[in-house]
Amino acid sequence: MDRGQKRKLPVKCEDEGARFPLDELDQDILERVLSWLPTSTFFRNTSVCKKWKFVADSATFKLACSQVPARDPWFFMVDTQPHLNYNPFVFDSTEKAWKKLNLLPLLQENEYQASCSYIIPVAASGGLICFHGAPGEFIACNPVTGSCHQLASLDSHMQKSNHLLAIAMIPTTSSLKIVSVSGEYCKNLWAYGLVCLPVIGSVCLPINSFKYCIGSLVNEVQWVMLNPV
Amino acid sequence: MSSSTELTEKKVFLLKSLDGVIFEVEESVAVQLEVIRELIEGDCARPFISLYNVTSEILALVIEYCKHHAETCSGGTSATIADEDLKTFDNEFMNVDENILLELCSAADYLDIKSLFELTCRTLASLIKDRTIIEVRKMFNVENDFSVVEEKAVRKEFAWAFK
Repeated sequence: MDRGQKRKLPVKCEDEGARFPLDELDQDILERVLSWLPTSTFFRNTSVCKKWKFVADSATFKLACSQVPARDPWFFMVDTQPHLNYNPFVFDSTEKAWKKLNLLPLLQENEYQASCSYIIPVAASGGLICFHGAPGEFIACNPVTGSCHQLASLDSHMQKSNHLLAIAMIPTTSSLKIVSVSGEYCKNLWAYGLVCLPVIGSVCLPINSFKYCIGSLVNEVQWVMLNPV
Repeated sequence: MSSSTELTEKKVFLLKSLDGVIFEVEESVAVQLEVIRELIEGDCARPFISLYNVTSEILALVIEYCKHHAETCSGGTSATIADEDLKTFDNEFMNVDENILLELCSAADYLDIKSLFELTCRTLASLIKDRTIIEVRKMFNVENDFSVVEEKAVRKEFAWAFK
């Protein structure tokens, strides 16, 4: 890196009191500072000015965010009845408050409108939600940043069967693993990445890398915590 | 401070600030400035190094920070005690005027001191956290360049974040 290209330190403003213009901050420093903000605070502050708003789209900002060691968790609540006006509730543990995200426009913007009528959330992990539409069709979605990504269609076994027994999603820093178990009991076991226990009509939600929670989306079956490791 | 190393001759570097003040630092402190460590490793370090972007007021603070970190890490105390000590020191060290904090952040970036850069970024973020948008603009002297309509649209887009 050419050190000579680095910015000069902001000159102190003698008459304006002791305020410093963060606006004059190097973009790189601004991104690094904002990457430390809790999620809600970051999005609230997109209305500070245009520069702060556009930070959200920057690739280097996303990289900076991924280097922040830990954030307070968000807990997603999924609706048991799939319907058109699906909006997930989220518990933001930083602000200790419930928030209602508006997800439908997001899926529509991302051209999944056609499948919206039967799209249901099936797994959530690491701040991402996985939706299941047509058989074999999965969409991973970051409800906060608004990015959606249709995953490569799962194999033909999966497409023939509408019975999704269990699913888990494990995002890592560079990729996303989806584990799904479908078919009748374990006959058509379809899985890759990790093995998870099949329970009829259930979802398998990873709580963290070691704990999973299995329960039903359809019936009011008791939720069971699993600790496979 | 340990006296065991007193006998061996310590390598020192002279760091010159933007306003011409010269600071004498030991190698253990100097190497915490990644820019200088690179020079030393590349065998291009001269005993006299000019730092054109850092004022003496800020450089003095940076050296105080690096000195404390160097001493704590080589002090022979257990890792947990050293960690606790550094945490306490860092907290007190960050208790400075916002102007100084920003200059420290810029200097840590320029001098490539990762721990100090992270510390200052984190501290600046915590100053933003508890303030309203208007307070944040005022505090950081940022001009609102949205039109009324645009600002309303942005707020609507992230309405959930305001609740």
